Amino acid sequence: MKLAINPSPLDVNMWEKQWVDWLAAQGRFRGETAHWDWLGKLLRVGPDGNIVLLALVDDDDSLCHGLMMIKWPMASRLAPDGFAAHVEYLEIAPWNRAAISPARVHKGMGTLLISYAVMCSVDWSLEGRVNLCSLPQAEGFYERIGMIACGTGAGYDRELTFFELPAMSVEEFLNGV
Amino acid sequence: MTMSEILKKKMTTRLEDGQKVDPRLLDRLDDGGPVGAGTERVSAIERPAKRRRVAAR
Repeated sequence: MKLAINPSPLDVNMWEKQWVDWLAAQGRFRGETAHWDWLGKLLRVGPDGNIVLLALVDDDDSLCHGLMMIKWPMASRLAPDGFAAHVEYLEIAPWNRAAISPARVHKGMGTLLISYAVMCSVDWSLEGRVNLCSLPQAEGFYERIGMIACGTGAGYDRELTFFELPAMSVEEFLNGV
Repeated sequence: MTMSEILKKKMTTRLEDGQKVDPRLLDRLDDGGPVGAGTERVSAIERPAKRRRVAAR
C-alpha cells in the first residue's frame, strides 16, 4: 500500500465508483457520505497547497482504502491564538469498516490517515494539532485516539461534535501508532 | 519504523506521493473499524449549502 497525494481525477472517480459498486453488491447504500463527491472535492485542490487530498491505495493504484481532505490553517479551539490542520473529510473504504464488513481487509485505515494529518500539521508548523467535525458514528474513535471534544462545528456543521488533537497529545498518539 | 520514530529521527514530516506504507504497520493496526465516515457535514446539512450557492449566482 502507498500514499497518493492529490491523485488524478480519473483515479479518484474510479475509486469512488468502486466503493459504491461494492456496497451495492452487498445490498447496501453509501449512507451519510453518499453526496460527498470526492472528485468534486479534488477540484478544490489548488496551487496554494493549503488543501490536500490524501489517498491510501494499493501499489498499482487499483484499489483505494481511504480518502482524506485536509486544509490549513484552521483556528485551534484548545490553543489560544494557535492553529491546526483541519480534516475536512475522511472516508474509509466500505470493506474496511467493521459495521459493514466484519472481516475488514485492513483494520487501521482511520488511524493511519489521522497519523498523516498529524504529520502534515507538524510539517506546516502547527505542532501536530489536528481538528475536525466528526460524524456521530465516528465520535468514539476520535475519543479513543486522544482527541478532545470541544463544542460543535460552525454553520452547517453545528450538529456535529468538534474534536481536536492538542499538541500535548501528539507524541502519545503517534507512539500508539 | 513507527510514525513517532520518523518524527524523532527525521524531524521532517513531509509526505511524498507514492510513499510506501510499512506493511508491519498494516498488520499491527486495528482501530476497531468504526471510522465509517470521518468528518463534516451530513447530507441534510450540506444540501442547503449547495442550494444557496446556486441561488447566489
